[in-house]
Amino acid sequence: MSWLAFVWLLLTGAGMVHCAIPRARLSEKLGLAFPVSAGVHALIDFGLMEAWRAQAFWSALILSPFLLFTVAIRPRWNIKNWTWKDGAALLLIAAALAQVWTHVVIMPVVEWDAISMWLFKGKVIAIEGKLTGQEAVRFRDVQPSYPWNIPLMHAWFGRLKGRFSEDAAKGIVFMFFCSLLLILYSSARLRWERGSSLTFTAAYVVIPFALVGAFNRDADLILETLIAASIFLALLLQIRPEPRTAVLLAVTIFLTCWTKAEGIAFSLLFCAYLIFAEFLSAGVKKRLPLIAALAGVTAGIFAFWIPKHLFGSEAWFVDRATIPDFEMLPRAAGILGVMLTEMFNGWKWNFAWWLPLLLLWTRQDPYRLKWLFFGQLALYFFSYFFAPYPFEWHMGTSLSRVLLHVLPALFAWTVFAWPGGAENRAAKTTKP
Amino acid sequence: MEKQPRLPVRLIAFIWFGAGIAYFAAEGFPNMFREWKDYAGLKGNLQKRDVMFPGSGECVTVVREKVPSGSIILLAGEMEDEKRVYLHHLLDYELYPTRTLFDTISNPGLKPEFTLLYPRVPAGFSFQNYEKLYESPQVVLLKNRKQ
Repeated sequence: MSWLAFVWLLLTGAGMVHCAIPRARLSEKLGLAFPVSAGVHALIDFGLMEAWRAQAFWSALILSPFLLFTVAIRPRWNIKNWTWKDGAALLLIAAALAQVWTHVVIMPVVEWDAISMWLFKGKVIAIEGKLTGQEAVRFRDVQPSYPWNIPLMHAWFGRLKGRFSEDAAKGIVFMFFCSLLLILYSSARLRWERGSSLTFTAAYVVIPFALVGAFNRDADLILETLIAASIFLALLLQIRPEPRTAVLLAVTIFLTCWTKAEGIAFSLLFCAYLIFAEFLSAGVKKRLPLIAALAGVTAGIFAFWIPKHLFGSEAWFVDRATIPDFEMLPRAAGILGVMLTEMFNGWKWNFAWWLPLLLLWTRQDPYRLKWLFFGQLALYFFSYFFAPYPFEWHMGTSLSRVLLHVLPALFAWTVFAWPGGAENRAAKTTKP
Repeated sequence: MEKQPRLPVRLIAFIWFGAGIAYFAAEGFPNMFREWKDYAGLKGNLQKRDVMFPGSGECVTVVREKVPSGSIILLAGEMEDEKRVYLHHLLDYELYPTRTLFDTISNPGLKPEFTLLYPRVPAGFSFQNYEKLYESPQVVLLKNRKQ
């Protein structure tokens, strides 16, 4: 039954993406299909909860017309001119997938956050069939106000199967990893041919820091996939500004907000970036992405506030944040030191951040996206700074995970920051 | 037009993929095969899990048992408050929706690796007076299990 549900989500998702970007490549459609479809199913499930007990069935029925659009997808396979380099890149990608499959799907869930924050909530909703304040009492210690996309995805599978399934929850994480790789490949294909794009995707999976990060069944991989999807669609809108693509961007931004609090922060930052893009003389065709981002983030914040209002939970971080003073300067230096060590320490097998740093030196950034990534990293810095915890402990529990949120999107950015290439020059427009 | 710096692409690719493949060989695949060996035979209904406490890197093995609804579980032994909270969340997840009660007692007299599992809730029981469990003749110590 789980397999059927996964195929259902993939096919309906492919239909949705085909409606939005019919001219897109198969990799683009498949890459966006699962994250979009799973999130939209969960959202409709949430909307129908109070009305029907069989809400998972009804949400699937409502979205079933999108299956018809999959018929119109025409995959084009041309394997005749494949080279040994393509094969080697695919081999590395397959090796990474095998490792992720083993750790994510074969291994039992061991991460405390994954169990208490996501699986438990998903299990309760799957069994009770709804989300009420009474159930929320059970979540008293695990941030009841947190965004609900992931527990509702778990619950959708549970409601459809008739019982909560931990295996389905693990399968979701693996599907998101596959989607992430397809989104990275699709981002590279916006500028490069197939061979270079495959090598680029392989270059991501051989970063141990990124690969090991994907072993975690927490929400971080799902969030990084959605952020990468949003950045990919924003880049696509720069090349092909079409309203339907903007609708898809609004959906991914919404799901980014509805997955983790860091997603809300990223989406707000993304809106600010689009507003200021013109001031940065970036030449960003910002109207469509901005409308989409504003719509997505507004809906995302609204969806965040409904359960929060329902449970009457406190905004614990805001209420308990420390007030800064000059005595906290050593704390700032300490946080910065830990962040830089985590990002640039080669002995931790982490060479992910060296390439973007190197590419900043080449001064190629047609859409000024570096400010967006700097902004997000600064946000994490200030979160640790104001948090009411000893920063060493706090960063030890989360820094390696939160740094991954923007890593795939930053990696996709390197395609556009790479020096040379006619497309890059064409994309680098100047303000009149 | 400003001249762009050229990147040593081959050198970058050599270092990048070299380090990545070295990681695959040194850690990635050995870990993967070890996990396969440990867990592949348990496909589906896994009976145990090692739960890692955030930050500390310490593990506790939780063995999944069929617990009669209405039982009590006491995780006995000296335990830090933080770990108590983690274990409570884990049991919240594992035992939902059974009516099983659980709590953790911090008693230096008991070995930390002992889990006390009682088959049913005695009348008038509350976790505030758990000592009564030891006096009650109805209560049976069902199992001692190493964590």
